[in-house]
Amino acid sequence: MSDRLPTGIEGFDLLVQGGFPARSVSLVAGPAGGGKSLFALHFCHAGARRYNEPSMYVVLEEAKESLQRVMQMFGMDFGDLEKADRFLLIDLGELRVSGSQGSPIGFRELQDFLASSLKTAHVRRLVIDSLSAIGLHYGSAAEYRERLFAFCRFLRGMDVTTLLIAESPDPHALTQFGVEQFLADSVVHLGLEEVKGELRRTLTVRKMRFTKHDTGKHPMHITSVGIEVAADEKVV
Amino acid sequence: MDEKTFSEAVALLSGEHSLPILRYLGSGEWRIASDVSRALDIHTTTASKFLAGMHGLGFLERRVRKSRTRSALEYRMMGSRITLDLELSDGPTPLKEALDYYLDYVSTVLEKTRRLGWPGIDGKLEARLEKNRNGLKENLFTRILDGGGARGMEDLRALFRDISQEFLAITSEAMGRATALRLLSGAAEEARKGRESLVDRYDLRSILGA
Repeated sequence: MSDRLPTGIEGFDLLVQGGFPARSVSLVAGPAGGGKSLFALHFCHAGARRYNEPSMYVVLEEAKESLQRVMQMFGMDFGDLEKADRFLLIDLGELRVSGSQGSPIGFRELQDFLASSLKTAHVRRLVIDSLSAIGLHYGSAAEYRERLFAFCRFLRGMDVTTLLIAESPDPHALTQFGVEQFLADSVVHLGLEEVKGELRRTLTVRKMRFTKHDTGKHPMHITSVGIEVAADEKVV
Repeated sequence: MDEKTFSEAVALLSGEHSLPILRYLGSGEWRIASDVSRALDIHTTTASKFLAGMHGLGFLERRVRKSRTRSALEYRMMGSRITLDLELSDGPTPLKEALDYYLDYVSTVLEKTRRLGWPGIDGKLEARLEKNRNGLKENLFTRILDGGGARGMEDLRALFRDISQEFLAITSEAMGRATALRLLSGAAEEARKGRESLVDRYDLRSILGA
Protein backbone atom coordinates (compact mmCIF):
# COMPACT_ATOMS: atom_id res chain seq x y z
CA MET A 1 0.00 0.00 0.00
CA SER A 2 1.25 3.50 -0.91
CA ASP A 3 1.76 5.99 1.92
CA ARG A 4 -1.02 8.12 0.40
CA LEU A 5 -4.60 7.12 -0.25
CA PRO A 6 -6.14 9.33 -2.93
CA THR A 7 -9.83 10.10 -2.58
CA GLY A 8 -10.41 10.35 -6.31
CA ILE A 9 -11.48 13.98 -5.78
CA GLU A 10 -8.68 15.52 -7.76
CA GLY A 11 -8.86 19.01 -6.26
CA PHE A 12 -8.81 17.69 -2.71
CA ASP A 13 -5.91 15.30 -3.36
CA LEU A 14 -3.89 18.24 -4.70
CA LEU A 15 -4.39 20.09 -1.40
CA VAL A 16 -2.94 17.25 0.69
CA GLN A 17 -0.05 15.98 -1.40
CA GLY A 18 -1.90 13.10 -2.96
CA GLY A 19 -4.43 11.87 -0.40
CA PHE A 20 -4.88 10.80 3.20
CA PRO A 21 -1.77 9.38 4.87
CA ALA A 22 -1.94 5.60 5.07
CA ARG A 23 -3.19 4.13 8.38
CA SER A 24 -4.33 7.53 9.63
CA VAL A 25 -7.63 8.35 11.30
CA SER A 26 -9.31 11.40 9.80
CA LEU A 27 -12.37 13.38 10.67
CA VAL A 28 -14.74 14.67 7.99
CA ALA A 29 -17.04 17.18 9.65
CA GLY A 30 -19.75 19.48 8.42
CA PRO A 31 -23.40 20.42 8.66
CA ALA A 32 -26.27 18.27 7.41
CA GLY A 33 -26.30 18.38 3.62
CA GLY A 34 -22.65 19.38 3.46
CA GLY A 35 -21.61 16.37 1.35
CA LYS A 36 -19.82 14.32 4.04
CA SER A 37 -21.25 10.96 3.02
CA LEU A 38 -20.63 11.69 -0.65
CA PHE A 39 -17.01 12.65 0.13
CA ALA A 40 -16.56 9.34 1.98
CA LEU A 41 -18.17 7.39 -0.87
CA HIS A 42 -15.62 8.92 -3.27
CA PHE A 43 -12.88 7.68 -0.94
CA CYS A 44 -14.30 4.14 -0.97
CA HIS A 45 -15.08 4.08 -4.68
CA ALA A 46 -11.61 5.28 -5.69
CA GLY A 47 -9.98 2.74 -3.38
CA ALA A 48 -12.01 -0.23 -4.54
CA ARG A 49 -12.20 0.71 -8.23
CA ARG A 50 -8.82 2.26 -9.04
CA TYR A 51 -6.44 0.91 -6.41
CA ASN A 52 -7.92 -2.52 -5.68
CA GLU A 53 -8.15 -1.65 -1.98
CA PRO A 54 -11.17 -3.30 -0.31
CA SER A 55 -13.30 -0.63 1.30
CA MET A 56 -15.92 -0.82 4.01
CA TYR A 57 -18.56 1.80 4.66
CA VAL A 58 -20.27 1.34 8.01
CA VAL A 59 -23.62 3.07 8.32
CA LEU A 60 -24.88 3.71 11.83
CA GLU A 61 -27.59 6.25 11.34
CA GLU A 62 -28.52 7.01 7.76
CA ALA A 63 -30.61 4.42 5.93
CA LYS A 64 -28.56 2.14 3.73
CA GLU A 65 -31.05 2.65 0.91
CA SER A 66 -30.50 6.38 0.93
CA LEU A 67 -26.76 5.89 0.49
CA GLN A 68 -27.38 3.45 -2.34
CA ARG A 69 -29.53 6.13 -3.99
CA VAL A 70 -26.65 8.62 -3.64
CA MET A 71 -24.27 6.15 -5.29
CA GLN A 72 -26.62 5.68 -8.22
CA MET A 73 -27.27 9.40 -8.56
CA PHE A 74 -23.58 10.15 -8.96
CA GLY A 75 -22.83 7.19 -11.19
CA MET A 76 -20.79 5.31 -8.59
CA ASP A 77 -21.35 1.76 -9.64
CA PHE A 78 -20.51 -0.45 -6.69
CA GLY A 79 -22.39 -3.52 -7.92
CA ASP A 80 -19.46 -5.45 -9.32
CA LEU A 81 -17.23 -4.27 -6.46
CA GLU A 82 -19.68 -5.65 -3.90
CA LYS A 83 -19.82 -8.97 -5.72
CA ALA A 84 -16.03 -9.10 -5.72
CA ASP A 85 -15.97 -8.26 -1.97
CA ARG A 86 -14.02 -5.08 -2.71
CA PHE A 87 -16.76 -2.87 -1.30
CA LEU A 88 -18.92 -3.62 1.72
CA LEU A 89 -21.79 -1.41 2.78
CA ILE A 90 -22.58 -2.52 6.32
CA ASP A 91 -25.73 -1.26 8.01
CA LEU A 92 -25.05 -1.51 11.73
CA GLY A 93 -28.05 0.73 12.24
CA GLU A 94 -29.95 -2.53 11.76
CA LEU A 95 -28.60 -3.62 15.14
CA ARG A 96 -29.43 -0.30 16.72
CA VAL A 97 -33.09 -0.82 15.97
CA SER A 98 -33.14 -4.27 17.47
CA GLY A 99 -30.70 -4.06 20.35
CA SER A 100 -31.80 -4.29 23.95
CA GLN A 101 -34.26 -1.42 24.34
CA GLY A 102 -33.10 -0.21 20.90
CA SER A 103 -29.89 1.15 22.40
CA PRO A 104 -27.33 2.78 20.10
CA ILE A 105 -24.04 1.10 19.20
CA GLY A 106 -21.04 2.09 21.32
CA PHE A 107 -17.32 2.18 20.48
CA ARG A 108 -16.64 -1.15 22.21
CA GLU A 109 -19.22 -3.00 20.13
CA LEU A 110 -18.01 -1.28 16.98
CA GLN A 111 -14.44 -2.22 17.83
CA ASP A 112 -15.45 -5.82 18.42
CA PHE A 113 -17.15 -5.86 15.03
CA LEU A 114 -14.19 -4.28 13.25
CA ALA A 115 -11.59 -6.48 14.95
CA SER A 116 -13.14 -9.47 13.18
CA SER A 117 -14.48 -7.97 10.00
CA LEU A 118 -11.51 -5.84 8.89
CA LYS A 119 -9.27 -8.88 8.85
CA THR A 120 -11.85 -11.23 7.34
CA ALA A 121 -12.55 -8.85 4.45
CA HIS A 122 -8.95 -7.51 4.15
CA VAL A 123 -10.27 -3.95 4.40
CA ARG A 124 -7.82 -1.10 3.64
CA ARG A 125 -10.23 1.84 3.61
CA LEU A 126 -12.86 2.33 6.27
CA VAL A 127 -15.63 4.86 6.78
CA ILE A 128 -17.67 5.20 9.98
CA ASP A 129 -20.85 7.20 9.36
CA SER A 130 -21.28 8.72 11.86
CA LEU A 131 -19.70 9.55 15.21
CA SER A 132 -22.80 11.54 16.07
CA ALA A 133 -24.82 8.29 16.15
CA ILE A 134 -22.30 6.67 18.49
CA GLY A 135 -22.33 9.73 20.75
CA LEU A 136 -25.90 8.89 21.71
CA HIS A 137 -24.53 5.84 23.55
CA TYR A 138 -22.66 7.91 26.15
CA GLY A 139 -23.93 9.88 29.07
CA SER A 140 -21.08 12.39 29.28
CA ALA A 141 -18.55 14.06 27.01
CA ALA A 142 -15.72 12.76 29.24
CA GLU A 143 -16.79 9.14 28.78
CA TYR A 144 -17.24 9.69 25.05
CA ARG A 145 -13.76 11.21 24.74
CA GLU A 146 -12.16 8.36 26.68
CA ARG A 147 -13.83 5.72 24.51
CA LEU A 148 -13.11 7.59 21.28
CA PHE A 149 -9.46 7.87 22.27
CA ALA A 150 -9.27 4.09 22.78
CA PHE A 151 -11.14 3.53 19.52
CA CYS A 152 -8.73 5.74 17.51
CA ARG A 153 -5.79 3.88 19.05
CA PHE A 154 -7.36 0.59 18.03
CA LEU A 155 -7.84 1.85 14.44
CA ARG A 156 -4.23 2.98 14.20
CA GLY A 157 -3.20 -0.53 15.18
CA MET A 158 -5.07 -2.00 12.24
CA ASP A 159 -3.77 -1.84 8.68
CA VAL A 160 -6.56 0.49 7.62
CA THR A 161 -7.07 4.15 6.75
CA THR A 162 -10.20 5.54 8.36
CA LEU A 163 -12.58 8.42 7.79
CA LEU A 164 -14.82 9.26 10.73
CA ILE A 165 -17.82 11.34 9.77
CA ALA A 166 -19.20 13.85 12.25
CA GLU A 167 -22.05 16.26 11.99
CA SER A 168 -21.43 19.87 12.95
CA PRO A 169 -24.35 20.87 15.16
CA ASP A 170 -24.11 24.62 14.42
CA PRO A 171 -21.89 27.06 12.49
CA HIS A 172 -19.70 27.71 15.52
CA ALA A 173 -19.07 24.12 16.57
CA LEU A 174 -17.13 21.72 14.37
CA THR A 175 -18.39 18.63 16.18
CA GLN A 176 -21.02 17.66 18.71
CA PHE A 177 -18.67 17.00 21.64
CA GLY A 178 -15.84 19.28 20.60
CA VAL A 179 -13.17 16.62 21.21
CA GLU A 180 -13.11 14.63 17.98
CA GLN A 181 -10.79 17.06 16.18
CA PHE A 182 -8.09 16.65 18.83
CA LEU A 183 -8.00 12.88 18.57
CA ALA A 184 -8.04 12.57 14.78
CA ASP A 185 -4.89 12.85 12.65
CA SER A 186 -6.67 14.99 10.06
CA VAL A 187 -9.70 17.23 10.00
CA VAL A 188 -11.52 18.11 6.80
CA HIS A 189 -14.36 20.56 7.16
CA LEU A 190 -17.10 20.74 4.56
CA GLY A 191 -18.90 24.04 4.94
CA LEU A 192 -22.28 25.25 3.79
CA GLU A 193 -22.53 29.04 3.86
CA GLU A 194 -25.33 31.32 2.85
CA VAL A 195 -24.17 34.11 0.53
CA LYS A 196 -26.72 36.53 -0.92
CA GLY A 197 -29.53 34.04 -0.39
CA GLU A 198 -27.68 31.13 -1.93
CA LEU A 199 -25.85 28.26 -0.30
CA ARG A 200 -22.15 28.04 -1.08
CA ARG A 201 -20.17 24.89 -0.43
CA THR A 202 -16.61 25.03 0.87
CA LEU A 203 -13.86 22.62 1.84
CA THR A 204 -11.08 23.35 4.32
CA VAL A 205 -8.30 21.04 5.47
CA ARG A 206 -7.99 22.25 9.04
CA LYS A 207 -5.42 19.76 10.16
CA MET A 208 -3.39 16.94 8.69
CA ARG A 209 -0.57 15.23 10.56
CA PHE A 210 2.37 13.69 8.70
CA THR A 211 2.05 16.05 5.73
CA LYS A 212 2.12 19.62 4.51
CA HIS A 213 -1.28 20.76 3.41
CA ASP A 214 -3.13 23.75 2.09
CA THR A 215 -5.04 25.56 4.85
CA GLY A 216 -7.25 27.73 2.67
CA LYS A 217 -11.00 27.54 2.33
CA HIS A 218 -11.80 26.29 -1.17
CA PRO A 219 -15.00 26.27 -3.19
CA MET A 220 -16.60 22.87 -3.49
CA HIS A 221 -19.27 21.88 -5.98
CA ILE A 222 -21.51 18.88 -6.24
CA THR A 223 -21.97 18.02 -9.91
CA SER A 224 -23.49 15.06 -11.75
CA VAL A 225 -20.29 13.09 -11.17
CA GLY A 226 -19.97 13.95 -7.49
CA ILE A 227 -17.71 16.35 -5.58
CA GLU A 228 -15.34 18.76 -7.29
CA VAL A 229 -12.95 20.95 -5.31
CA ALA A 230 -11.38 24.04 -6.85
CA ALA A 231 -7.84 23.68 -5.50
CA ASP A 232 -6.62 26.80 -7.27
CA GLU A 233 -9.40 29.06 -5.93
CA LYS A 234 -9.99 30.33 -2.42
CA VAL A 235 -13.10 31.61 -0.73
CA VAL A 236 -12.67 35.02 0.84
CA MET B 1 -44.40 -35.12 28.98
CA ASP B 2 -48.10 -34.48 28.54
CA GLU B 3 -50.87 -36.81 29.76
CA LYS B 4 -51.32 -38.55 26.39
CA THR B 5 -47.64 -39.40 26.07
CA PHE B 6 -47.49 -40.43 29.73
CA SER B 7 -50.43 -42.86 29.29
CA GLU B 8 -48.84 -44.40 26.20
CA ALA B 9 -45.56 -44.83 28.06
CA VAL B 10 -47.20 -46.47 31.06
CA ALA B 11 -49.18 -48.85 28.83
CA LEU B 12 -46.09 -49.85 26.90
CA LEU B 13 -43.84 -50.26 29.94
CA SER B 14 -46.41 -52.37 31.82
CA GLY B 15 -46.22 -55.07 29.14
CA GLU B 16 -45.01 -58.58 30.09
CA HIS B 17 -41.69 -58.34 28.24
CA SER B 18 -40.84 -54.69 28.69
CA LEU B 19 -38.41 -54.96 31.62
CA PRO B 20 -36.42 -57.93 30.19
CA ILE B 21 -36.11 -56.06 26.86
CA LEU B 22 -34.95 -52.89 28.57
CA ARG B 23 -32.38 -54.83 30.63
CA TYR B 24 -31.14 -56.43 27.42
CA LEU B 25 -30.79 -53.02 25.80
CA GLY B 26 -29.15 -51.63 28.94
CA SER B 27 -25.69 -52.48 27.57
CA GLY B 28 -26.09 -49.51 25.22
CA GLU B 29 -25.34 -51.50 22.09
CA TRP B 30 -27.35 -51.21 18.85
CA ARG B 31 -29.86 -54.11 18.54
CA ILE B 32 -32.40 -55.13 15.94
CA ALA B 33 -35.73 -56.80 16.81
CA SER B 34 -34.51 -60.27 15.86
CA ASP B 35 -31.53 -59.88 18.29
CA VAL B 36 -34.03 -59.20 21.08
CA SER B 37 -36.28 -62.00 19.92
CA ARG B 38 -33.45 -64.55 19.95
CA ALA B 39 -31.95 -63.39 23.26
CA LEU B 40 -35.25 -63.41 25.18
CA ASP B 41 -37.05 -66.11 23.24
CA ILE B 42 -40.01 -63.93 22.35
CA HIS B 43 -41.76 -63.37 19.06
CA THR B 44 -40.01 -60.92 16.70
CA THR B 45 -43.23 -58.94 16.17
CA THR B 46 -43.56 -58.43 19.96
CA ALA B 47 -39.99 -57.15 20.16
CA SER B 48 -40.41 -55.00 17.07
CA LYS B 49 -43.60 -53.34 18.34
CA PHE B 50 -42.05 -52.58 21.71
CA LEU B 51 -38.89 -51.11 20.19
CA ALA B 52 -40.85 -48.93 17.73
CA GLY B 53 -43.16 -47.75 20.52
CA MET B 54 -40.26 -46.85 22.81
CA HIS B 55 -38.57 -45.00 19.98
CA GLY B 56 -41.78 -43.06 19.28
CA LEU B 57 -41.85 -41.96 22.91
CA GLY B 58 -38.28 -40.78 22.68
CA PHE B 59 -36.68 -43.41 24.93
CA LEU B 60 -34.69 -45.20 22.23
CA GLU B 61 -32.48 -44.03 19.39
CA ARG B 62 -33.04 -45.61 15.99
CA ARG B 63 -31.03 -45.98 12.80
CA VAL B 64 -31.06 -48.11 9.69
CA ARG B 65 -28.65 -51.06 9.51
CA LYS B 66 -27.93 -52.00 5.91
CA SER B 67 -26.62 -55.35 4.76
CA ARG B 68 -26.13 -56.77 1.29
CA THR B 69 -29.49 -58.46 1.29
CA ARG B 70 -31.78 -56.24 3.40
CA SER B 71 -32.09 -53.28 5.68
CA ALA B 72 -33.31 -53.38 9.27
CA LEU B 73 -34.00 -50.85 11.99
CA GLU B 74 -31.73 -51.07 15.00
CA TYR B 75 -32.22 -49.43 18.38
CA ARG B 76 -30.30 -48.51 21.48
CA MET B 77 -31.04 -46.90 24.82
CA MET B 78 -30.33 -43.17 25.06
CA GLY B 79 -29.03 -43.67 28.59
CA SER B 80 -29.17 -46.15 31.43
CA ARG B 81 -32.19 -44.52 33.05
CA ILE B 82 -35.79 -43.99 31.97
CA THR B 83 -37.71 -41.14 33.53
CA LEU B 84 -41.42 -40.41 33.19
CA ASP B 85 -41.94 -36.71 33.79
CA LEU B 86 -45.63 -35.87 33.78
CA GLU B 87 -46.67 -32.29 32.98
CA LEU B 88 -50.07 -31.60 34.55
CA SER B 89 -50.48 -28.08 33.22
CA ASP B 90 -53.75 -27.30 31.53
CA GLY B 91 -54.30 -27.84 27.83
CA PRO B 92 -52.21 -29.46 25.11
CA THR B 93 -48.66 -28.21 24.49
CA PRO B 94 -48.81 -25.52 21.77
CA LEU B 95 -46.10 -27.07 19.68
CA LYS B 96 -47.12 -25.53 16.40
CA GLU B 97 -47.24 -22.03 17.91
CA ALA B 98 -43.79 -22.58 19.41
CA LEU B 99 -42.50 -23.75 16.05
CA ASP B 100 -43.94 -20.59 14.45
CA TYR B 101 -41.95 -18.52 16.94
CA TYR B 102 -38.72 -20.31 16.08
CA LEU B 103 -39.38 -20.10 12.35
CA ASP B 104 -40.01 -16.36 12.69
CA TYR B 105 -36.74 -16.10 14.61
CA VAL B 106 -34.83 -17.87 11.84
CA SER B 107 -36.36 -15.77 9.06
CA THR B 108 -35.65 -12.57 11.04
CA VAL B 109 -32.01 -13.60 11.50
CA LEU B 110 -31.68 -14.22 7.76
CA GLU B 111 -33.37 -10.93 6.91
CA LYS B 112 -31.18 -9.00 9.35
CA THR B 113 -27.95 -10.50 8.05
CA ARG B 114 -29.01 -9.63 4.50
CA ARG B 115 -29.80 -6.05 5.51
CA LEU B 116 -26.59 -5.79 7.50
CA GLY B 117 -24.76 -6.36 4.24
CA TRP B 118 -22.09 -8.88 5.19
CA PRO B 119 -21.51 -10.92 2.03
CA GLY B 120 -22.23 -14.63 2.06
CA ILE B 121 -23.36 -15.03 5.66
CA ASP B 122 -27.03 -15.58 4.86
CA GLY B 123 -26.06 -18.39 2.49
CA LYS B 124 -23.97 -20.07 5.20
CA LEU B 125 -26.82 -19.78 7.69
CA GLU B 126 -29.32 -21.22 5.24
CA ALA B 127 -27.01 -24.17 4.59
CA ARG B 128 -27.04 -24.99 8.32
CA LEU B 129 -30.82 -25.12 8.28
CA GLU B 130 -30.73 -27.93 5.76
CA LYS B 131 -28.32 -30.01 7.80
CA ASN B 132 -29.58 -33.42 8.93
CA ARG B 133 -29.45 -33.40 12.72
CA ASN B 134 -29.55 -37.12 13.55
CA GLY B 135 -33.18 -37.41 12.58
CA LEU B 136 -34.21 -34.71 15.07
CA LYS B 137 -36.05 -32.70 12.44
CA GLU B 138 -37.85 -35.77 11.12
CA ASN B 139 -38.93 -36.83 14.62
CA LEU B 140 -40.01 -33.36 15.47
CA PHE B 141 -42.28 -32.89 12.50
CA THR B 142 -43.78 -36.34 13.08
CA ARG B 143 -44.60 -35.28 16.64
CA ILE B 144 -46.18 -32.07 15.43
CA LEU B 145 -48.42 -34.06 13.07
CA ASP B 146 -49.28 -36.40 15.96
CA GLY B 147 -50.53 -33.50 18.03
CA GLY B 148 -47.35 -32.60 19.86
CA GLY B 149 -46.74 -33.26 23.50
CA ALA B 150 -44.15 -32.14 26.01
CA ARG B 151 -41.56 -34.39 24.45
CA GLY B 152 -42.11 -32.59 21.15
CA MET B 153 -41.43 -29.29 22.86
CA GLU B 154 -38.15 -30.64 24.20
CA ASP B 155 -37.16 -31.79 20.72
CA LEU B 156 -38.14 -28.43 19.29
CA ARG B 157 -36.02 -26.58 21.82
CA ALA B 158 -33.10 -28.92 21.25
CA LEU B 159 -33.30 -28.45 17.48
CA PHE B 160 -33.36 -24.65 17.63
CA ARG B 161 -30.74 -24.50 20.39
CA ASP B 162 -28.48 -26.37 18.02
CA ILE B 163 -29.35 -24.13 15.06
CA SER B 164 -28.93 -20.94 17.09
CA GLN B 165 -25.51 -22.00 18.37
CA GLU B 166 -24.36 -22.58 14.82
CA PHE B 167 -25.78 -19.21 13.76
CA LEU B 168 -23.81 -17.60 16.59
CA ALA B 169 -20.59 -19.33 15.57
CA ILE B 170 -20.93 -18.28 11.92
CA THR B 171 -21.85 -14.66 12.62
CA SER B 172 -19.25 -14.29 15.40
CA GLU B 173 -16.49 -15.42 13.08
CA ALA B 174 -17.33 -12.69 10.57
CA MET B 175 -18.39 -9.79 12.74
CA GLY B 176 -17.37 -10.47 16.33
CA ARG B 177 -19.29 -12.07 19.18
CA ALA B 178 -20.83 -8.89 20.58
CA THR B 179 -22.30 -7.88 17.23
CA ALA B 180 -23.45 -11.43 16.56
CA LEU B 181 -25.16 -11.67 19.95
CA ARG B 182 -26.83 -8.35 19.36
CA LEU B 183 -28.09 -9.46 15.98
CA LEU B 184 -29.46 -12.80 17.24
CA SER B 185 -30.88 -11.23 20.36
CA GLY B 186 -32.64 -8.61 18.26
CA ALA B 187 -34.13 -11.31 16.05
CA ALA B 188 -35.34 -13.29 19.08
CA GLU B 189 -36.96 -10.17 20.49
CA GLU B 190 -38.65 -9.23 17.22
CA ALA B 191 -40.04 -12.76 16.80
CA ARG B 192 -41.38 -12.61 20.39
CA LYS B 193 -43.58 -9.60 19.65
CA GLY B 194 -47.26 -10.52 19.77
CA ARG B 195 -46.67 -13.89 21.44
CA GLU B 196 -44.89 -12.85 24.63
CA SER B 197 -46.91 -15.06 27.00
CA LEU B 198 -46.23 -18.23 24.96
CA VAL B 199 -42.51 -17.49 24.63
CA ASP B 200 -42.09 -16.66 28.32
CA ARG B 201 -44.24 -19.49 29.65
CA TYR B 202 -42.40 -22.18 27.71
CA ASP B 203 -39.06 -20.41 28.05
CA LEU B 204 -38.55 -20.54 24.29
CA ARG B 205 -36.16 -17.61 24.05
CA SER B 206 -33.48 -18.56 26.56
CA ILE B 207 -32.22 -21.47 24.46
CA LEU B 208 -31.43 -19.04 21.66
CA GLY B 209 -28.69 -17.53 23.79
CA ALA B 210 -30.66 -14.28 23.74
